[in-house]
Amino acid sequence: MEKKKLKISEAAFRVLNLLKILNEKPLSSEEISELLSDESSDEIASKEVVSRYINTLRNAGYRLSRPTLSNDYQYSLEKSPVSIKLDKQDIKTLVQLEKYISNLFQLKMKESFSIFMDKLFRYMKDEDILLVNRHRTNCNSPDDSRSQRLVNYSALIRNIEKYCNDGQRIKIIYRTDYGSDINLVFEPDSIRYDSMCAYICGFNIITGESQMLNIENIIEVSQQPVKIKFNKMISPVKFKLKGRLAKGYTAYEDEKILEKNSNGTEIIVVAYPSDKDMLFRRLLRYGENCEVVSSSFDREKMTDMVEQTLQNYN
Amino acid sequence: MSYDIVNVLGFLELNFMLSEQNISPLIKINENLSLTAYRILMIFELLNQSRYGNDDINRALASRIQNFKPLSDDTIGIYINTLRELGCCIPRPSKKTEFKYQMLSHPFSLKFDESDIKFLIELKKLISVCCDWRLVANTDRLIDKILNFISPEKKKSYLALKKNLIRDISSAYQSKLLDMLDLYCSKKRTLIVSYDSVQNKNKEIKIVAEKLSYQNGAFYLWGYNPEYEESQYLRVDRINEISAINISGITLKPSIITAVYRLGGTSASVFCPDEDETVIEKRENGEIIIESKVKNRFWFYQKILSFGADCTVIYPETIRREIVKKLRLLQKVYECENDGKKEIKN
Repeated sequence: MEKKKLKISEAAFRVLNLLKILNEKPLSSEEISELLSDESSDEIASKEVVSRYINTLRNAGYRLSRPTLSNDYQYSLEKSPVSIKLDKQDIKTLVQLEKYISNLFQLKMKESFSIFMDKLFRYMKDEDILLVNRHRTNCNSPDDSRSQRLVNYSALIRNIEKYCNDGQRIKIIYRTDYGSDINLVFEPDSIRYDSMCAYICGFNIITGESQMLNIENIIEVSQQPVKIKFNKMISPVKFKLKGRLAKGYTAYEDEKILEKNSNGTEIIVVAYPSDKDMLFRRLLRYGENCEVVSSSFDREKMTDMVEQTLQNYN
Repeated sequence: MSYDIVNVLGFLELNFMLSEQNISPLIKINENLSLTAYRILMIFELLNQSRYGNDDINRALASRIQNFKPLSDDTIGIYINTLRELGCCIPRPSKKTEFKYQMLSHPFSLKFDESDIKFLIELKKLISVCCDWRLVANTDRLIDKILNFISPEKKKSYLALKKNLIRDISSAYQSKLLDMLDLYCSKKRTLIVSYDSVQNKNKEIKIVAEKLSYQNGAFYLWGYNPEYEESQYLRVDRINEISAINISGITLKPSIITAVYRLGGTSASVFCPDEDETVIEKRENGEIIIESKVKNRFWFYQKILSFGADCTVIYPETIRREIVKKLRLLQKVYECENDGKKEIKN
């Protein structure tokens, strides 16, 4: 059945459509002229018609820039026709987030946040933007303890960020827990954080395993003229959880629940960890309710960890 | 109220709302202004703020346009259709909307592309490791508002990506519940909560609210449980409701155990004491000795075990024995299969 055509005002539609497109991108006079033209006639809208509609938009409260050389003689809508409703706490949160991101010392992340703020500002009321600027001068970092640690490594973090983006191998001199320095060849992927530290995540060419290296233990790092080759095949770890732990378990981001028994008291989880040591430490928390089932190498490693921990009490 | 007073109040309210939009009063339509265009833009602005019936629309336009002639119902209908043609969702007036037009959505949403969605996910991931539960909760609230301002397709894309990439245990009403719990924590109120534990649904638990925390994608309420005389933590997403609040207070008799443990290796170099912990000694070999006021033994055991071989409990003997017991049980789990392999090695 043919949809009944709605009775509309063509002229009204053209101006709304103009507003909609201006909200997405700047337009030249010629482009506006085409948009405002009546499809039924061959004539395109004149300069006077364009001027009339631009004037009407301005009188209706919409801020349109004047076409000048600096904006390629285009009209652009400086503010969106609609505003997002943010309360005082939201404004504060925006500023806190900005500070938080800045204290991670990653330039790309900071730029991305800046782009995000610019997009959001177009949809925010002027008084809200003023409030953002006021809060910016007063804001204390919400995560001072970590940023105080990491500020000494800010240049290193920026370099590592660049290496991750460049997609090339790096050579690292790394201080181990035992105080000795080892050489690593690493394919960096990203930088990750926990509540206290920053880590470079990637693939250790020598061990053939994914690993997370604490940035504070990096003595030296240099880029190699070799592109990242490995397809980052992360070897999975399967573990079994039992009892109450199994019933209430929610998978972590690199995990998937593979199997569940009928009453949910036993589940098998497969994990693709960025660092197996970190995973095993987490699994130790679960005590006897958790058992690494594969690979056999990982199971042995877990057994060794338990044995070594027990030896502390002998 | 009489119709006239309603009209005046309506007029004043409309004037206030429109003046907020920076629109100069009483526009004079001349050859440099399009009346049709101005009307449709005003109607869009009005519906973006609230519900409006035909009379309301005419009143609002009359307050803005000099020598305004009221629009007929048919003309207003044409304008509404025009907005619908643009992509605005304006259902038919009904009893639910007091027989007024209400704009549910419009095509001027915040334009987010895939890189913006990925950025929001990355932001959420970065915030999730922050110690500040308030920042996490406020960020969730802010992201929710932003999501309601982007297109439904982009919102769906974000939610799907978030499900796969972030461990986020939350519920829709959690924001308000967190605010309430925060208030009760500040006043140390005794609450009776209906809680879905793993084994029992709607279990009633009495708890003196102390603090909130955020860890591994979930919010936790910490407090003193007078029944067990021990500190307890509850996952906020499992709290169904707060059944009762006792403002008279109860005598707290928390059993706090002082424990001392030694930390070495990586764990020592990145260690940050909790509020109930103090580093009492730092050794030349990098080891540290920590004193901890243990309010919840289960939480403490998990923490100690997660340090692996980096950690040794020094004191008290009861906790040492418990840790050893857990490790031996864990050892048994791996013994059966590995015994066979040890024989082969030998």
